Amino acid sequence: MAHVAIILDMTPTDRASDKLVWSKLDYAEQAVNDFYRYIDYLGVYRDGQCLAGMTEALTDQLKYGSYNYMAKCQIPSEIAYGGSVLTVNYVSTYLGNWGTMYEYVRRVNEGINKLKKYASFNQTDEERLEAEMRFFRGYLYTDLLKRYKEVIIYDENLDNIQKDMPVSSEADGWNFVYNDLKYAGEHLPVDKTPNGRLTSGAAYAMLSRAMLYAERWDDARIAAEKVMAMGYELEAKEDYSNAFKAGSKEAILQYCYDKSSTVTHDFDGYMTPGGDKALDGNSMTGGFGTPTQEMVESYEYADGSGFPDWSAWHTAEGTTATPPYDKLEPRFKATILYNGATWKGRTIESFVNGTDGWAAWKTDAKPEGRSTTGYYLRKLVDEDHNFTSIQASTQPWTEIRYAEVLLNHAEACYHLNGYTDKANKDIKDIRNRVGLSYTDKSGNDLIKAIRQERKVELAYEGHYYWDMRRWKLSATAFTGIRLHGMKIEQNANGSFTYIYTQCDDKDRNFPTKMYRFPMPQAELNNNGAVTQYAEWQ
Amino acid sequence: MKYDYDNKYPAEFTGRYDGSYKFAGNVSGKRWAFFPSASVAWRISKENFMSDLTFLDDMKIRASIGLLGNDAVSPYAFLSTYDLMDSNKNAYQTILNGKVMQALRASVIANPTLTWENTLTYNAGFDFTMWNGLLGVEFDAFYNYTYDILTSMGGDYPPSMGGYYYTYANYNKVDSKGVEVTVSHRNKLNLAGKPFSYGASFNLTFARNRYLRYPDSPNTVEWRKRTGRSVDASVVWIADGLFRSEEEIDNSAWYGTRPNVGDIKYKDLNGDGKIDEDDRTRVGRGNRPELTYGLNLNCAWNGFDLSAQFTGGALFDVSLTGTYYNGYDDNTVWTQAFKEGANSPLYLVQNAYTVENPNGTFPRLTLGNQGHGGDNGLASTFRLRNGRYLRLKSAQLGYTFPKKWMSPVGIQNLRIYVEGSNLFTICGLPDGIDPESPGVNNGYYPQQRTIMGGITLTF
Repeated sequence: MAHVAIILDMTPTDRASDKLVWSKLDYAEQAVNDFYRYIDYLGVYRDGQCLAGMTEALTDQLKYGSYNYMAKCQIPSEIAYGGSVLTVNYVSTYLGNWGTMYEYVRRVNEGINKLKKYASFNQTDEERLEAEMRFFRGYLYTDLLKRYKEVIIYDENLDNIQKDMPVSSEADGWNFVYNDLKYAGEHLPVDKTPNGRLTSGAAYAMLSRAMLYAERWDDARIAAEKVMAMGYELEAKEDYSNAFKAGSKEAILQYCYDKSSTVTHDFDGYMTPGGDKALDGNSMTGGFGTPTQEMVESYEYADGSGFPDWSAWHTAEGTTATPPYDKLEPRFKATILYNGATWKGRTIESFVNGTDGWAAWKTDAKPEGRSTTGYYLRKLVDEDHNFTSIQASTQPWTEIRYAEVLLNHAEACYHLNGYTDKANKDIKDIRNRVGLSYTDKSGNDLIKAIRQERKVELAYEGHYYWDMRRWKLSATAFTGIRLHGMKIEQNANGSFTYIYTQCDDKDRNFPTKMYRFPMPQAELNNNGAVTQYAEWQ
Repeated sequence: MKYDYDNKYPAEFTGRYDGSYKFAGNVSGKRWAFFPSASVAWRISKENFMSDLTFLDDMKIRASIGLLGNDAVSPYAFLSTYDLMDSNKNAYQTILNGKVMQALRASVIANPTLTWENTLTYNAGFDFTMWNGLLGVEFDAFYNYTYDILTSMGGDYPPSMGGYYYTYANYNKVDSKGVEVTVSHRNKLNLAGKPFSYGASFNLTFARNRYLRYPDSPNTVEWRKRTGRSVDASVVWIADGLFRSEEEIDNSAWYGTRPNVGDIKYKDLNGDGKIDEDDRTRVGRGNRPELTYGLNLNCAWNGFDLSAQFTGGALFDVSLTGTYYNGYDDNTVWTQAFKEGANSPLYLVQNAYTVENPNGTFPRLTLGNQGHGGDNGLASTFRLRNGRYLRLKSAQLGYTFPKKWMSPVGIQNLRIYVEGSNLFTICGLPDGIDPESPGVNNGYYPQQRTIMGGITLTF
């Protein structure tokens, strides 16, 4: 029988046992490598934040122009219109991330569990790998908590995983995140490389962000100051546009892509100006989501004279006066392409029948590749991307950059007694970098300035929807409004007429229940220890 | 091991000890298992006290019990393993410091306690023949209990578990019980001075099964649970005829968008004002007949021979089309008139609801997709029919020429015959629907009727 027993002990040849993987440093690092994709998944190039498209499209910043009943087309507008469509299943489908986050949490917990069980390499490396995994766990739970507030907490003790498990309080949830990210900050190496293995700077930067959601202001301040002490700096003025690109000095955590691998994305295909199709053959037509007139009006004059008076352009009859695009501050030009802007060595023609074109919302039968707002997104779209050579996009996703840490710090300091000067200094640094002056503020003016700076500085980087939500401002700011664009017509003499045009066919409505997302039905059906959140009962 | 005392008490015992590489060798009692079986019988007709009953040819009472094992599960489901994520698997690698890095990912959640699936079988019965074969009876009653079934888990766990449950486990339990009866009659007599021999045998099997344990979620609505229900029960919506008026639609629940008059109406089981997954239910009968029966007849006289085989089934449902696991009955010409420009069964067209035929029993005719966004194609009781049938499966009539005619011309044997299969069926189904069609099919082509003649010639 002994002989037979040996024959039956076959080892699979196409996979490795968990003991082998976690006992050797090389293999253990490869197992942790698999978790880095979560940064990509939760970034704006993917669906992790919102299955319907960029979350900015649920605010007043971005409009997806096609009326097709699909994601990245009509559905983002449908969500923003709100009303009876916002059922538990609908919101779970487009904005719930419950199942995926918990799968990832479980995978990370398995990793920590097996590292502790099998690792037989030196303690420093063991702690570093544990720190990397706890960063991911804290990062995943931050995403869960910002959506659901009260969630089920699982750590690396896999024996605790069971069907009937209650949720923990919001405070306990943030405590769990705090401990993970703090451990990561303490045990990861201090290194300013944003696109290698995780660093201490990335962990503290993430902690400063998480603690804003937790409203633990002092913890947010301390975490931000850890990063500020590491020598990161903002990109120089003329290079604001580099701040979120490859090689950015201020990038703290970047996820990279490589055209020689399967790790690429398709952000340019969706977002690049429609004229790129004719120029270099973008097979996806581009122009799916475009910035709104509301966002354009959020930018100040470059010379420090404040916000332009746009009332002359708020006319449906149209005006031939050119909007003051050229006079706006550098962040406008780095973020938004407008009629007349330079792109890929050509001039953007976002007028009716221009190369980049214009399309009416809802009534235009085939708006693909044209803008319903008269603008195109420039930020995060790769101007060096030539579709002739490759359709896939490979510009990196910058998950955290130094400007955000300064803004996190400013907001934390605003809420703490005796830190007003520090908050003012952060805002001043952010504005001075793009050549804007700043006079110190306090009280309500200061928090308004901080919010305005976050909106403009971090526009389209995946923050605005969640910021407005945590500030509880969405229900007033995004209710009873319709978004606008510029319909631009070219006249016989070559001049343009700018016509202020609605690009919504209904008022938008953000009900307060959307400050928390509903627990998905599959959890309620199979977990006897939870009930639906009060807002959704 | 065999034992037979005095030809009256035969008994048998067998046992096997099986090991499978699919189960863990380092967890005791999982890889190796012992499967015994035993049977005993009592041949009553050999007893002295029965010797007076001269009409009795043979009589036996028997019983058996046995345990069978099954290891039908993917290999290595008991081992925790990691897969390499490379470009061939179209999964993520990771790029660190500008270099494409390999990544390893945990595969299945290993179940080290995985072990053999067992079926315990009990069987008891008796046989007898009397009057030299004028009456023969075999009777069996059985009970099979299958437990620790190798079950693919999932679906009924909360997503917060993150998939942390065994991919496979010894979970389900099923039992099945029933009876088998065969009655036969054999005889020889003289007809017009020639010997006439004939035989008839009737058999009937009834079997009913059910899940004794199934991973139903506690919050699954009662009517969707499988525990306690037949393994073969299908999950369908209950159809309530067709919508006959706009007013009827106003006062009814519907699936998806508003239907039109002439579309199928479904029952709102949970009364929430809409038709959705929760309104599907398990109906008791599946595609497999619980009752099957057959009759074999044969006779021979003066060179002529005739045989016929009847088969039949009852206690089952036939769908007028195949039902797909996705819940749709669509994609066949049997449910959708003029599907893909194809011809349609007459019953679909003749009985369709139209303005001229407001009492039609089948949905309004549509081009392209199923009417109303495909909802008329939902798997529902609308297309289920009682499948009971009796079929003359085959028959043969032959004549063998007498040897005395053939021998002079050097022929040893000459027989001519005509035979047919699937000669007629008595059932309540529309033309073109075969009661023997499988449950999941892509528009089953009915079995054909064939008639052929032949000659057998031996020199």
